Amino acid sequence: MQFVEHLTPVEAPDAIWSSIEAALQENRSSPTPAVPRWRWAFAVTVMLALAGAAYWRFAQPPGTRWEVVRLDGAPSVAGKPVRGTGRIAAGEWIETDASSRARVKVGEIGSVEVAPSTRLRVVTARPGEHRLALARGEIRAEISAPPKLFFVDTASGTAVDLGCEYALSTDEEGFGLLRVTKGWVSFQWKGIESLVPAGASCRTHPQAGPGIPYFDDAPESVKQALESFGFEKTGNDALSVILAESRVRDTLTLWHLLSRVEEGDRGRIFDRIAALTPVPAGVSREQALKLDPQTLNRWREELAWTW
Amino acid sequence: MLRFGIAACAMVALAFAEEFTFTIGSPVAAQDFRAKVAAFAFRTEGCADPAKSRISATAEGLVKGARRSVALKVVAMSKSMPCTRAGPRKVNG
Repeated sequence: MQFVEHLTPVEAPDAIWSSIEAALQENRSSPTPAVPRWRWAFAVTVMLALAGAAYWRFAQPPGTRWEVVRLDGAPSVAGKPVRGTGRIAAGEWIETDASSRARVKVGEIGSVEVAPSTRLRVVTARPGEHRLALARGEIRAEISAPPKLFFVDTASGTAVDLGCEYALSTDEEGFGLLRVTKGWVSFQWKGIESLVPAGASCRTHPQAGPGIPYFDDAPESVKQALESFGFEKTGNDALSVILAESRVRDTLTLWHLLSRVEEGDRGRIFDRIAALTPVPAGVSREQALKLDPQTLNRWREELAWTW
Repeated sequence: MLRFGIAACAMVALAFAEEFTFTIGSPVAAQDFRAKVAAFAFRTEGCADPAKSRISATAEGLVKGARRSVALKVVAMSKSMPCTRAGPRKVNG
């Protein structure tokens, strides 16, 4: 150190300052090294990909891809033929030709057999909502679950499972038939509801929704009258036949008719039901003719003991 | 497999009130999805104390000419006091 202190200071040449300034200028203007920036971009990309995968995984709980079993012919899922077994996810179609059949396992609550010449889509596949859309053809559903977990949309309304087994067919316009073999099905369209119990059927019609349910063993005259009454509005002739020919069990049909006929005809229907089976306590003529929901539900629950 | 001609017999051991009634209907009458697999539903009304009622049911029929009895499982449903039996609709013969 002492030696250094004895050195004589000497002015640096001007050239050195310009070279230093040039070097400093170069450092300031030179870009960030490429490798660190690339690494950051890569890390962000990886993190985004992982986050996306995690979101997809948890947003799509297990079971959202339902099992499909080929029963006959060459059914297809999303345009690809099913050989043996396959899977179907929400948004995908299953199609059968005239010689094909398949069975779709509906989550954990049941199964649907897809008949030949059918086009069916899985709309929603969640534990709280199992929803199909039947574009055309026929399905047979066997569901063992609490009500309102399984739905089938058609062009003329939605079949809501109330714990049941049933067959549902429709064409692309919405002309169809619901036939229930166990439990209950509610068929709904724009505020109109038909409650169809085991042993009964209900026709569906585009722009009219569900027709009036009837028991499969109902008199043919009643069924024919319903055909014209339900959709063609032929009026009193058909209603008169239905009233005259109905049996005790056909109060299923009469109960539904009560809220579908003109107000002036409700009294005739009430009186016919009352003649077939005693009106229970809690059901008054006045309230029934006003279509009071509580009264009608009470009456339906009681009438169901004859169905 | 022969269809078992059901002749059900239910025995109710309870304190009868004056207006006691016993109604048998289709399983759909139970208004309960669990009744889907039942052969029929039935209800009692007018019991002095429905909670203390004891109900048993037996199906009687002929299988290949031989009389058979099958004890039925009675399950209480959610509505009032209808009790629904869930058991075999057919019996192997």
